[in-house]
Amino acid sequence: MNGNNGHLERHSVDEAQLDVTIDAVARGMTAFEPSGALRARVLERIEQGRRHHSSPAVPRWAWAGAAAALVLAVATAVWVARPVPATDGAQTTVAERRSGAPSLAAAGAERPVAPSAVSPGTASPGGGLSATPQTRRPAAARGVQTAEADVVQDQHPVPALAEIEPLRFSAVEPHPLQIAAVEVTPLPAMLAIEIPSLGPGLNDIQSADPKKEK
Amino acid sequence: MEPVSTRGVSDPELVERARRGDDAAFGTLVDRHRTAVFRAALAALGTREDAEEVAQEAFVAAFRHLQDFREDASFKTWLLSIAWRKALTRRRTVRTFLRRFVQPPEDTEWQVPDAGRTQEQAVLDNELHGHIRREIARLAPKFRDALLLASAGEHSYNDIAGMLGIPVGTLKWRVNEARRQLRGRLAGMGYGQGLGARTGDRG
Repeated sequence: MNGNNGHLERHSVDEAQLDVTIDAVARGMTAFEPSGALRARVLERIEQGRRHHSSPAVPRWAWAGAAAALVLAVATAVWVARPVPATDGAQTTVAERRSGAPSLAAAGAERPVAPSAVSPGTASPGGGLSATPQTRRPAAARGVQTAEADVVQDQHPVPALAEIEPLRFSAVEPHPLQIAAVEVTPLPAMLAIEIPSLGPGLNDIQSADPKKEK
Repeated sequence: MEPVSTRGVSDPELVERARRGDDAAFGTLVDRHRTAVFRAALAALGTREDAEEVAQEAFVAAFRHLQDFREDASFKTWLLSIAWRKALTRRRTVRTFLRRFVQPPEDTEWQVPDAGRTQEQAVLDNELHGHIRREIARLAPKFRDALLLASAGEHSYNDIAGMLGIPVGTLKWRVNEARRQLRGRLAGMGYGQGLGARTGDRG
């Protein structure tokens, strides 16, 4: 018991006193002052808001129009730069169009081959990408151009690309029909048919008068 | 301290001046109500950093909406309503929600006045205060808010009721209910009347 006296003393807080203590502790939980710079910060933020909302040199609607124009310009550039599909019998390339080289015939005329298309590193650094007569190379012989070759290619006239072997197809059309001629022979002459008479006075049946016959 | 030019000028007059572009008048309003706004935000958020930020936001928002202020209510009540809404918005963020679990409420520097207390009594009182703080933090938000705002001493019951959007009677009920719940929890720890029966010492 005696040992509990201290325990009792520690907790001998009546209800009314506890309420007071609760209120005091609750008050202490918010008993702080804001920083002294609160006013300055508030006015500074107000001023920043004024500068932000002040009329800009360029109105906002102009920015939207400029953005739309930019999008349109990019779309137009993409459309213009799109690769043109090859027409019938004309194997042209961008390089040909740039260099002005004549377009390939479908039969595969000999054309100069771009050295950069042959293999990387073979292009002469002195700008010697001049067109030289080359044998035909299959399209599969084009290698990956290096960055260097691309740069050199851009600085000098680009010769035509390797000739493309025309594809040869076997004939697919069927053989023409062979219809045997039909001979029409004339009919043979028909024999006359003799009809025997049926009796005297009865040769002309139609003219016979039934009354007269009686 | 307020400048002489605005000393004694009423809030409505300062509001009118601020509407006409007098920033100094609004600055005076800030000085007058900064503590009330800050403590209201602190009651909601529990940390001084968040309360400071919310207080700034509340004043800036009030300035921007000065034209919307109708003088049917006091400027202080209107301002506290703005601050409370911003505090609740911030309290709903995940970051603030988690912080309440990770970081306990600010340990108050306020101490029970050391008026004739023994050292032992001071230790016991501090222990009790710690229990009370922790139990207040565990209260449901509506009871905790009501208790902290009512106890802060900066707001009248009308101001608090307007801030919370509840009738004054409901506010008083919440405050009493908060105290009742706290007493019950503290009794479970051995505080309050009836402890003698718990410990079995009836002598």
